[in-house]
Amino acid sequence: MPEPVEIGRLTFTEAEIRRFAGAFDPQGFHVDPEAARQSPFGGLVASGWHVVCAWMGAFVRAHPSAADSPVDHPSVIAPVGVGFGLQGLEWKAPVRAGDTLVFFTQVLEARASGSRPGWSVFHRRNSARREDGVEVMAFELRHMAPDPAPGRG
Amino acid sequence: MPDFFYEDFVVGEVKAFGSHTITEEEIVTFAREFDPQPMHTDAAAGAKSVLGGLSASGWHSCAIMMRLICDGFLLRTAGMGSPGVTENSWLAPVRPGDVLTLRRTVLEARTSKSRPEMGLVTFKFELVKADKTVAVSQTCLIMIGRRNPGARLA
Repeated sequence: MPEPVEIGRLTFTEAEIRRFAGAFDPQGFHVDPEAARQSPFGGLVASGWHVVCAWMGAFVRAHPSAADSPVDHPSVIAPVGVGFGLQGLEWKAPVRAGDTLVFFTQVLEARASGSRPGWSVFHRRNSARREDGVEVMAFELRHMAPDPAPGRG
Repeated sequence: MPDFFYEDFVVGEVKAFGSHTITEEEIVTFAREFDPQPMHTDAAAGAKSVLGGLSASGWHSCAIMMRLICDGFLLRTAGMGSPGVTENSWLAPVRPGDVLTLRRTVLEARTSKSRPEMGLVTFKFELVKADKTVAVSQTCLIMIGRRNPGARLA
């Protein structure tokens, strides 16, 4: 089985933590430093969804460019394709302002789609670690992605 | 003082909350940052995509559902964070103009011997479109403070 591959890293700032949470997860410990100090976290922490969404941004940006493929090829329109779902998403440790997360993906299984020619189905384990190596988030993802245009990849 | 504690979540209860009408601008703005596939950032690419039209990133749908969870009840609840999501399925595309609501089912509730100040509630959250199609179905655990920490429950 392939090893986990690093796909990017991101430093979480207080401003970014509060911006994401202000839009999507405005619990006190994500948006209000004073409320956060008195919460079980003892300080401001990023929304778990912020961490997962940042993982996805890294995953898409790390995907090999299909820039010289036809513009309407599925690998250009949707390079990593569509997700069916995720299992076992764990928020294992708080992410605080100043933490730099390193994002990983690991292919557990890949096979040609039975119903959609030119597409493959992937089962992955994805994760984020702090720079000190502590894994803060992990989940398994099932998705289908287009194969590269002929003559590529 | 929160309105809702662990004891207020009754297994089997089903409730609907809130409503959010998603716009094309929101879909594109979110996707540029967190899921920059042309399928989600460009209407023409979306139309040619396997989803058959511009649609929100699945992660955007999850984020909107989280906001409906917050506004629906969690901001008034003694919430102490979440250890994770057991399962999340993306069942139908979310498109510009869709009116999204949250359906919450309490699946399980249990107290903790090691942490008597809280209980762990397992919810099924569904993001439901106006035509009753379920776009996202998720099983999520949330740690919730107890009204009377340590009290024995039958």
